[in-house]
Amino acid sequence: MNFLFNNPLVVLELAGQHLWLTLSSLLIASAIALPTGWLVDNRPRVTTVVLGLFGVVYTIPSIALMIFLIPLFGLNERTVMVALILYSQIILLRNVLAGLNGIDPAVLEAARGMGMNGMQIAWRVQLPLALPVILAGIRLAAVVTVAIATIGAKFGAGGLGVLLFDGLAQAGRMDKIWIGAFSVGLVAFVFNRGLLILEKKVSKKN
Amino acid sequence: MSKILFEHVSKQYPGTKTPAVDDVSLEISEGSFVVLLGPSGCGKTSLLKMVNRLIEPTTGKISLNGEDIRSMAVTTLRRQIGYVIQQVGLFPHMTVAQNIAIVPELVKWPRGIIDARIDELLEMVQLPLDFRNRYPAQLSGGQQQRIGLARALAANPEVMLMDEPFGAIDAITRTSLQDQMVVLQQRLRKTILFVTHDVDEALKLADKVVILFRGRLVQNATPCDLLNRPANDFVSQLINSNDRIRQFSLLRVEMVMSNLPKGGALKDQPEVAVGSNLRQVLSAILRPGVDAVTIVDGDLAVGQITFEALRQVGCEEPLE
Repeated sequence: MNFLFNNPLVVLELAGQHLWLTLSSLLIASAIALPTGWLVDNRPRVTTVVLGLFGVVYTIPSIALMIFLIPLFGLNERTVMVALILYSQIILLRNVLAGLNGIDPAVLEAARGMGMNGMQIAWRVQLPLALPVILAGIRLAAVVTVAIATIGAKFGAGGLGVLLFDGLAQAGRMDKIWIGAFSVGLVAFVFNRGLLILEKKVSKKN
Repeated sequence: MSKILFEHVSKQYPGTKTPAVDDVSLEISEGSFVVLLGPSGCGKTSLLKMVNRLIEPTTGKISLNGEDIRSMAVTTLRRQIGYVIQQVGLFPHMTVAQNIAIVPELVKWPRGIIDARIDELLEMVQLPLDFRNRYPAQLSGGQQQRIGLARALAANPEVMLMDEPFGAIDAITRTSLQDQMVVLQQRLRKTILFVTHDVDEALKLADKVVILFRGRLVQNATPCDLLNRPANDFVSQLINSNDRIRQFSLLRVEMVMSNLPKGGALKDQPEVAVGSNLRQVLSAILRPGVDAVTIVDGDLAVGQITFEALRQVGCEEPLE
């Protein structure tokens, strides 16, 4: 605890880095997963291939994946962000697809029959109706991303992982490890809560 | 001029041996209410959905107002055709008003006109105006389909496609919706293509009934002709042409009434209102000393039905 009281700004700055890393990765990941899910929806074969691919990516240990990515993106936070984006794809995609599949086919037929085009159906019908399930996916991905982002400290991305790795390296600085672990948990908790509230709001509207 | 014209239309789904629709040619005239009738799997829904191109025919041509429906953008085509389906398909995240406004918004009507139109349509389908801000989940099945009907009528299309619209609704509500549909059509004179497997519904609503069996057009006739001259045993069995009392309850007086004799209606004849069925006429005519009934539209006598005319309806033996 002493560490926190002596260096509140250090911990706060690392937490800020962690938050930013997670948030930007999640935003980019969602921006990729949403259109991808929409495009592969109703194409069973393509869906199987895409889900299989990201499923395999998900099984690669995070340190190994980041090492693979260093030659492409350098030893910095970019590598870490790309890894986080790759990891969250499978979770996000599954939920985007589940959300789209959960829409009553009659609603889509009516939309088509009335002369809405593909984009109009996507924005005005599919997205709002699938949103609660998609948000649940983002929430799940957020928690996973917060956890994996700690590894980013090893690759120059900063974040709360710095405390954990420092604590380990300085043989027995349990205070740093405790504060690091607790802060990561807190960030994950905040994400989860915030998105849960949003999700409830959206579901209520439906 | 024919409003919708099918020319040798066939549809064969991949992986099936027999076509779902087999060389159907059919002319639908403007303002007529045409019911496609047949058992499930007879191709009636496939035929209907080809008009707004939710299904594309394998061969053949369909024209709307004399124009090949493939010559225009599919969204343009669909926006000028009202579409009602059995499962209704209201958008659950939109209010009743927003649901009704869909097509008018797509064709860019001004906001004020859309608003006025929503009120007009709610009145037309006999729902209170404060339903505007309700969500579909807050409505009963019958009310939902009324909104479905209002939504299809919203941009005032000339053609309506209705795919078993009352099939999933309880019997009492269904009857009242059918009655309203008759009244509505007398007022709006849309060209309606209506799919059902319910014979009573077909006879009650249709100007023309088109009977389909295994993808083929078996008979295209008025309800009266259908009862008088079923094309074959299948039709005869389907419409149960021997049970005349039941049929009478389905046929409207307009279908058999004749012009008033010179000098106007006889004074003592019982009066039956336009839109009534023949069964009501029968009850009136069976009173002692009555030979005919006068058909009235409000206070105005518009025609009459004699006992003899009633006897002619559906009396012939079906052709073998």
